[in-house]
Amino acid sequence: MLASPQSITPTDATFPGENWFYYFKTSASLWKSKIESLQHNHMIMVPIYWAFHAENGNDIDFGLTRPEANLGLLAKIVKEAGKELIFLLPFGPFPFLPNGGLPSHLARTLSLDENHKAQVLIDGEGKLNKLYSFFDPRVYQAYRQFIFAMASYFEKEKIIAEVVGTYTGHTDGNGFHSYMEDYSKAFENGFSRYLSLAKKDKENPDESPVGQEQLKKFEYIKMMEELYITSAKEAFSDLWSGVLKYSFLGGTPQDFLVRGVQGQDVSSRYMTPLLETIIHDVIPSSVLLPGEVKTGPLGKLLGDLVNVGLIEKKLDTKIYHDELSLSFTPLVFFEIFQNPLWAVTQQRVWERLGLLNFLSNQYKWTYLLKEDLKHLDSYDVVSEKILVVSGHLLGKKDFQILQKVLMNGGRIILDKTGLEASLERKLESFFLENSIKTEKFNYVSVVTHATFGTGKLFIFEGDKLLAAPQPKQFSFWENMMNLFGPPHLKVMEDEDVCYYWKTRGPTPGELAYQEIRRVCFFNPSSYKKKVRLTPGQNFAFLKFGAAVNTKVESTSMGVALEMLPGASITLDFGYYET
Amino acid sequence: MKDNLVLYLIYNYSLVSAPVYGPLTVGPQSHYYITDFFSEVGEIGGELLLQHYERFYGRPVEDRRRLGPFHSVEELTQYAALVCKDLLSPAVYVLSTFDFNRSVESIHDVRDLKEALQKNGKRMINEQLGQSKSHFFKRIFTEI
Repeated sequence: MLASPQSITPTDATFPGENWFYYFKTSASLWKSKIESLQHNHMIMVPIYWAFHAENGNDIDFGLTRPEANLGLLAKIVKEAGKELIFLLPFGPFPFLPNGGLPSHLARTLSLDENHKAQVLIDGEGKLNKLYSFFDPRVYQAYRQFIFAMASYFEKEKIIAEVVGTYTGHTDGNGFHSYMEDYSKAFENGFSRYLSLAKKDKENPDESPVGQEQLKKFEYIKMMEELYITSAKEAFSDLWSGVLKYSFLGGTPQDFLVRGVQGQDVSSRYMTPLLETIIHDVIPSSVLLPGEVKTGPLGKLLGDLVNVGLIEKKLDTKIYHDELSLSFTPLVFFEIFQNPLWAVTQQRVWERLGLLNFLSNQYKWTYLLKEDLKHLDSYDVVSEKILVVSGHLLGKKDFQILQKVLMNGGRIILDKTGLEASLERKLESFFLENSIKTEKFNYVSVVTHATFGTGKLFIFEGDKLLAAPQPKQFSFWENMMNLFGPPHLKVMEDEDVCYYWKTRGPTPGELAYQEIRRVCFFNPSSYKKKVRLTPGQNFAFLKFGAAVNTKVESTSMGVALEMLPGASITLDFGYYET
Repeated sequence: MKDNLVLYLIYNYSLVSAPVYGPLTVGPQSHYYITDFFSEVGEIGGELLLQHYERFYGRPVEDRRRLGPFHSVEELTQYAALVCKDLLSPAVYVLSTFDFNRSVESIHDVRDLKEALQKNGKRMINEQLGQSKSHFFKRIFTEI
C-alpha cells in the first residue's frame, strides 16, 4: 500500500506525498536510509526534474558531476530495498518544480491559462512556481534531446524501472485542466503555423465555420501533447509503461490567489476537489500541499483513494475494468460522454440539462465525465455502466457503437438534439429490423424507451429539457431514473459532510449478495454533523468500520450517524437481487 | 466579512460569445468578465456576486459560471465598489489580467504577492467606513 500522508514525517521535503520521492532535494548519501525508512510501501514514484540534469543547456548530467543526478544509483538503492521504482516523466510543466521543471534557459514565455492569467502555483514548502510554455519549438527540441540522452543512459547503466508519462493538471467544477494548456504568445505563434499548414493541406481543408478556432486550438494542444508522448515512447520503448494523469490539489488559479494572499491553508478546502478526481478519472496528488494540511479527514481520504491498486489499474485498463475484483474500487454507475470543447466554450450541455445537478444530489461521485473528441472510442461495449451521450456529437462510428451496446444488454441515455437526420432514420430502421420494442411518452420532452432483452435505450429531446426550469429538469431525471436508474441507497447528510462509494464482488462468505458496497464518510468541519441513510430495497446493512469520533445507530428507519469534528467512518452494505 | 479585509478583483476581456447549441461567435456581445474576486479569507461567494450583478444591471448574468458581461472597465469598477461597500471592506483593488501577470512576473517570493497586487491594481477606497451617518449621501468611493 502507498503510505498515507500520516506515515511520513510531514516536514520531510523529500517525501511530499503519495510515495513520491524528490531525489534532488537531498544528498545522494541519504537516499538509502530515506528509502529504507518507507517500511510499509513497496512502490516509489520518482518525478524526473529535467532542469536538475540539464541546467545550462549544453551538458546533460546523470551523476558525472553531481551524485544527486545519478539515477542509476537511485534505481540500485530502490531495488536493494526490495521496492518497485516508477520514474515519472513530464509531458508539460511539473507544477511542484521551479519553472515547471524547465531548465532556466528554456523558461522564456510565461504560460497563460484560458483567462490569459499567468499560470503560477505554490508548492508544499510555500515556494512560488511559475509555469512556462511548452509550445516554444526550442523546448520541444531540447526535451527530445534530454529524454533520448536519458534513455541511452538507462540502457548503458542497465536500469530496470518503469517509465511513465505524466500529464499534470488540476480539476475544478468545470473539469480537468492540463497545465500543458497555454494561451501565451509562444502558443499563438505555434498555433498560427499549425493553421497555415492545415490550410495548405488539401486533404484537410479548413471548412470550419466562424468561431471554430477554439476547436482548432484544442486539436493543436492535443497534437502537441501527442508529439511529446510519441517522443518519450520512442526513446524508452521497452521501459515505457504508459501514461498517468495527475490532478494537483491546491493547484487551481483560485488556490494560488487564496493561498498566496491568505498565507495559510485549510484542509477542508481540498475535500471536494479530491473527490472530483473520481468523476474526472484522474489520480489526485497532494504534493503541492504542506504536510500539516494533510492530516485528519483529508489525510484519511487521500490514503483511501490513492493506493498502489489505483496506480496499477490506471496503467493497466484490463484490471481497471475488472468489476468483480475482491478489492474495493470507486463505484461508478454512469459514463457521461462530452466534448472537451464544451468546457472551453462554456456549453457544458449535461450541466445545463440538469443531469449533473441531479446526479450530484442522488448519485454523488458515482459517475465519470469522459472528455474525448473521438467520442465513444474509449467506451467498453460490455460495460455495465450507463452510457450517457449527446446526439449533437454522434458520428456514424459512434452510432454503430451505440447499437452494439444495446445488443449487448447495455443501457444508454441519448439526447437526440443535434442528431443528424440520416442517423435518426437509421435508428428507426434499426428498431424495425431487430423488432425492438419502443414506447413513447411525453414528459417535458417526447421520451422514447426502447428495450432489447436487458438492453435499454432512453431517447429524449435536450432542447426541450433545456428550456424547462431547474425543478422540472430535476423531476425529469428523477422520473427517468425511477424507470431506468441503478439501485442505490439514499444519503441525507448535513452540509460539509463528504462521502463517496466503493464496490467489490462478494467473498465466499458473502454469496447471498451480488455486490458489496462501502460508503466512507468524513466530517472535515469544526462542528458536529448528522447523516442518515434510508433503508433501501435489496440492501442489507452489514457492518461499520474505521470509526473515528462517530456514533452509529441502526434502526428500521435506516442508519443514523453523529459525527464529531474530524470524524470518519465506513459502512458496508450487501446488495442482493430478488 | 471582517471589516479590515481588502478585496481583490481580476477581470479579463473576452472575445468569444458562446451559445448553448451551435457554433461560437466572435461579435458585438464580447465584453469584460470577472475571473476572480477574493479577499484574504477566500473567494467571495458566487451567489452574492450574482445577486449584486442583478442589482447593478437589473438583469441576471448570461452564464452563471462567468461573472459578466460588463460593458466597460468603469462599470466593472463601479460594480466592484458596490460589493466592497456591502461587504464593509475598506478597499477593493481592481486588476486586469495584464496587471495580474505583471504582478506575478515581478515577484519571486509568494509573501510579496499581496504587495505586488496592491501596487499594480487600481484601488477603490470605501469612504463610507468610519464616517458618520450625516455623510451617508456623500460620494462613497474615491478612486486613488
